[in-house]
Amino acid sequence: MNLHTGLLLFVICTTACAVAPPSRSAPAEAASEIRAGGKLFAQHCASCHGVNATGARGPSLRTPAVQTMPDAALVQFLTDGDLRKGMPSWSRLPEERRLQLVRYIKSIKAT
Amino acid sequence: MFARCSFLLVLLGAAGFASAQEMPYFITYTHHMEEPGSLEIALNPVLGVPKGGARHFTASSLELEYGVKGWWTSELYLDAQKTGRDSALFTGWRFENRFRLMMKEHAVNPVLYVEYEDITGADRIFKEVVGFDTFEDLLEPVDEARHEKKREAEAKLILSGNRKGWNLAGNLIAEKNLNGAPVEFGYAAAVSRPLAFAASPDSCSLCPENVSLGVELYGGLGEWRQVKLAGTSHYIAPAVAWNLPNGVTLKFSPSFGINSNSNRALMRFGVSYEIPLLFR
Repeated sequence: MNLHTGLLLFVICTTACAVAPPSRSAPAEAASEIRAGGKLFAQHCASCHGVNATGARGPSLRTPAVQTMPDAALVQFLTDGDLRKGMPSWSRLPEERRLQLVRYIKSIKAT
Repeated sequence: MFARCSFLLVLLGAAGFASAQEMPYFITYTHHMEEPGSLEIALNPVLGVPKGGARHFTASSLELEYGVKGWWTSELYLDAQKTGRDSALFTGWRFENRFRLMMKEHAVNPVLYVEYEDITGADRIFKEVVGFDTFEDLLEPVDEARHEKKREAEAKLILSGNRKGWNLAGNLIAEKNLNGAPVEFGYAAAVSRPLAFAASPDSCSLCPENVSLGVELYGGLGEWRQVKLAGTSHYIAPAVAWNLPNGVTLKFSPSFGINSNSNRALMRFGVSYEIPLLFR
């Protein structure tokens, strides 16, 4: 396999793998998004905000200030971070995952 | 040795883990910084397939990357190599700092990179290709090249942005050998994306969301008063990164020379582990 064939296969694989997931009912979809957000939270956020989001080195995410923030604003905050205060930018995560994180964070307010 | 490994494993276990969604790049830098207080330890071996009669080599760099602030990341590299049947040798170190210039996310995010390196002519990491670097540089025997001191200052302008899950990044490189050689220029550019944008609800290792694919293009741009492509070498490198849920990232990227001045291939491997909030 020469270089050109290898690169062509690479491009085909990249494109072919970007398939849309099958559609599901709205409640099941929402629950699935929250679970996915919980997984992302454990991977990326729990080390600062605590495993229950009650705060550790970073602030609690159960406060009214966070829970009443519109989803779009929270996604934007995750995108920008607050670099001067130590909150990293999570723009490296695709927007879909940032939205999943927000859905999870908003789901924990009543627990 | 066993005791040292055990100690390291205990330390890593006690520290917990973080998954930073690493980009698949080896050469190109993006605007993504190390999380403040986190330490990433990485080992990046390179297998070199030169041409023109130069011998195959194996080189490796140990990287320690630390997030000083949200906008400031420092990194130390320790390089070594082994060529043919010669004994392995330490080839030097590099210390770099990256400063994010804008505190908010924009379409294009500039980052200033400054580095000092103290390496020998036997260094084979190819962390960047600049000036008129060619495959002929590897024809010099290692025993001679190791005595050539290279104390260099390097600056990069990193431009990087994310759009609809894709990352696009470009680096402009200027490197100056402090022994008086002219400033050499180079570039690196890359694009990548994860195989799946959304996360799946269940924990998984080998699933599309954990795999990122990309491609890098890098090479030299001549030197001060001789900025040109003639006589320079260039490489194209497909790249893949696999971010495991336990905080380990595995990367692979074969670089192929795309002109007559390039080496035939450079096979790059990478394994990294991130320890969150180590010194905070």
